[in-house]
Amino acid sequence: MHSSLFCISVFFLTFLIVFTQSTRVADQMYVSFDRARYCVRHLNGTHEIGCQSSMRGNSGRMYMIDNENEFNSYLKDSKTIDSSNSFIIALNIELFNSEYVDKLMNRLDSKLNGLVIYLKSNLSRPKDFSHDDQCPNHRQSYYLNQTETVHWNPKGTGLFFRSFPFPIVLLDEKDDYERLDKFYRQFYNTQSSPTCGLEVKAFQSAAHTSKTCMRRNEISHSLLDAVDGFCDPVGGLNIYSKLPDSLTLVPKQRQPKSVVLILATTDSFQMFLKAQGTTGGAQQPATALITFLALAHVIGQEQKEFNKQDKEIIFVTLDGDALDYSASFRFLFDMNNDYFPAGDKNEQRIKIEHIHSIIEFQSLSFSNNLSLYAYPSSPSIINETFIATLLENNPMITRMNANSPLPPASSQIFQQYNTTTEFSQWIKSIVEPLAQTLLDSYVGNNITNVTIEQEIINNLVYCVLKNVNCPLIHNVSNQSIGNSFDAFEQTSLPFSINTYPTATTPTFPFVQNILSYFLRDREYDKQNITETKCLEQKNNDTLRLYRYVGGYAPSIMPEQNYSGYCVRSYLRYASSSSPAFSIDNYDLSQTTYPAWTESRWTTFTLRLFIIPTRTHEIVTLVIGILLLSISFIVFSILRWYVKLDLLQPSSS
Amino acid sequence: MTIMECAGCTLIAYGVPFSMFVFTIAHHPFRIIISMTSAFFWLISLLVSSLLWFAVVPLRNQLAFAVPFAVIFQEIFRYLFYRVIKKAEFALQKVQMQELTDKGMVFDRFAVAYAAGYGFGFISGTFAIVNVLSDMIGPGTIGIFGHSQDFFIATAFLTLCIILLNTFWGVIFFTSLDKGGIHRLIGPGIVVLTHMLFSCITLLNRKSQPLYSVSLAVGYSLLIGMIIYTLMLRGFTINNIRQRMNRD
Repeated sequence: MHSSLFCISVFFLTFLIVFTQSTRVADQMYVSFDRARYCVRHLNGTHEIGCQSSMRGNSGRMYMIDNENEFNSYLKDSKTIDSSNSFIIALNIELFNSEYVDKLMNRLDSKLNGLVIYLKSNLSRPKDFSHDDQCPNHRQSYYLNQTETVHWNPKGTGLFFRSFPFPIVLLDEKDDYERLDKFYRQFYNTQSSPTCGLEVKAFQSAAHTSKTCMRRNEISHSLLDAVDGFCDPVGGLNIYSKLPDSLTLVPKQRQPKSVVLILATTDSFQMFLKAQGTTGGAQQPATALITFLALAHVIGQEQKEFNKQDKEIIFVTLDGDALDYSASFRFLFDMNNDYFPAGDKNEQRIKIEHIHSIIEFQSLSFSNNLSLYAYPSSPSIINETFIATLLENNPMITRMNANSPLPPASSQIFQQYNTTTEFSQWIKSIVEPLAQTLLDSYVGNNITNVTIEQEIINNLVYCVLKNVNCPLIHNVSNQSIGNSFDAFEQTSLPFSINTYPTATTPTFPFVQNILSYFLRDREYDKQNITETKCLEQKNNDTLRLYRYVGGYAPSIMPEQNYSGYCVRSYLRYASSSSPAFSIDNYDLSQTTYPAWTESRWTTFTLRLFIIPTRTHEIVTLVIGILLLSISFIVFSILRWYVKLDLLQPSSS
Repeated sequence: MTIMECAGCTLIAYGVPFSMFVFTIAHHPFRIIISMTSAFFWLISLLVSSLLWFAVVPLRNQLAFAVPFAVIFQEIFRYLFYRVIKKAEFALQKVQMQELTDKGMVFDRFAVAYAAGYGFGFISGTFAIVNVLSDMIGPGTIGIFGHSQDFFIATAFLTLCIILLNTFWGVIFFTSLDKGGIHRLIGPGIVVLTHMLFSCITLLNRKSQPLYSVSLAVGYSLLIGMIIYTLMLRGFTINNIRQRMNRD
């Protein structure tokens, strides 16, 4: 009776005690960082670069280095370094450059099992964070007679192009640093107490070179579904568009020097990729792209004038130039193989001799000085009048000396063949003079004061830099199949290294829709066409694209006001991966074309935990062994000396 | 490198039961079968208690609700197993095969009770510790959120306690029921009550600053109590033991 009363009271007592949710033990042991960014492996024809971990992950004792003093004292601290045989160093982002990383690698050698780079807060972002070379793309430099290497990117650490035997992770979310620091300070005491440890899992499937990896892709693992590839070629889509009526159709011959290319890139350098969610974008391609699209709008606005002359102005975006100009090589390759423009054979192909000039938007940054680099294929053929008009129309531009070395730019590839807010206002002040110059040079009529609505530029800036899921893109794309930009709400347009087959990046649909809309046939705005009738037009016209959209008001003349508009436009796109991957039997170790690939991976995780002290582990093991041996001995005694019946062997 | 910790805790929890198995059960096929079947009965009892837990949706987070019922179900199934054994014994006695008796295949009630208790205990302990062991294999150990470092060792010792307690409970339960009379009530009653007490005490471990010493102390003192009671049931008194020691 007493014991039952006792038990009931105990029962109620425990009922009153606060219970936590029943969780797995592992949840109480590990702290994971889900928003970290990881460095991945890239391969080219001859080397592998990047970082990776072992298949089971790299773990080690955590040590945090916040500034140069701590760095130097750590290197001298033999006691700490000898206390563990693997370390994962948490390094302040300010210290992430080749000097410090090399020193660390030399001192720790094989004990360095990983690097976690942290950003303390958004307010203290480093001024420069570029891991490109100091002279980007210097391996594919085709300047005639240029021998000097200029450091266009003096803050570039070049770390992207090195191969590390351990994983490198970047923590740039604010509370991630705070959590890391909190736990580290809690447990960073003397040697005897348990210390913090980190584990990074970032195993990359690719290895050796692109040639080896692509060959391995071909080996079929028919019994194992899981592995269906180790790497993907770098590349996305090269998109091009022009005014829908400025076509040269068979049998009319295309005149030499009758095509003007306007280029921009849609990719950018990225050393650290995000495991989930969209990656952020660099500023550099964004500004150029906004200017590019705004210019397209102006050309589209003045299409009546531009249609009077015979030059075709084609707007092209290249994806993949960050790594050795793969996209430009592909573009040129397509041109030489009758694949530009892609699609209907009724349109005459464009070849190198048809190109008059190339205008490229590259490295535009918000400042008051713009440098203009004009590179002629031979000194005498430079179009002085175009440049003079441009300089006259836009006083911000300074002309660089013809002998000065050229910056890395996609149009470089064409040179090797010797045979063309305050922020939106600033953009407007670039676009308008340029459009004016184009008009003056090619149409010649002295149409004065070409303008673009400020609102259009504002909307573009918003969409590209703030929120891809913006009203502009909804109004210019076909919404009947659903909104494909929903997943990118409140993120800026991502610029990163894409791989082919293309992942779900919104960059390409965005550029395709906006570019083709801005260059559309404006006559169609005046007609009230139904959706079915609009789509029917497709049957009669295989060269152009017809779609039905809501309509973007600032771009439409005020008199027209319908519920929907039929958009007649010209749009083509082609894969932009290097020709190395499309030529049959091409040996990927050759250097004719760049052959960059990006590795595939399965999981990226970063975890923080406690590492038990040596004594604790040994004590546990010793107690276990003692219990086992003592019980064995006791039972042996009971069997053979005391002769208990229970222990005697028998067959029942 | 907490492989060492994992190995250590495995040995702590299973060291003694492993020796028990090697010396008392391994050479006896009958006892092996009884242990396996007993383990299976325990699994069914766990299934039934989890069905109950699943059915009572609002109290799913309150472990204190599920634990007493789990205890009750385990004891019910221990009793059911006893009935099954009784039927088997009855059938074997009817057959009365002389050859089997010569070979030594006698129905030793004590051994059967012991094997039944052992099976129950082994599977119960496994369920208690296997998840924890698998989490131990990773590179870290518990403690980042402030939990005590002794969690793993305490769990291992508690598991050992569970396994041994269950063995003795099995013996007490079956032997008391066989004796009949007042023992039919006292024996199972003591088993149920001590089991309930032990399980409820381990609930204390779920506080944020647990006192493992309390549950360990209670558990092992209960174990000693059970051993003494078993010896009493088997007819050992202090005098008996002294005589046996002197004889050898």
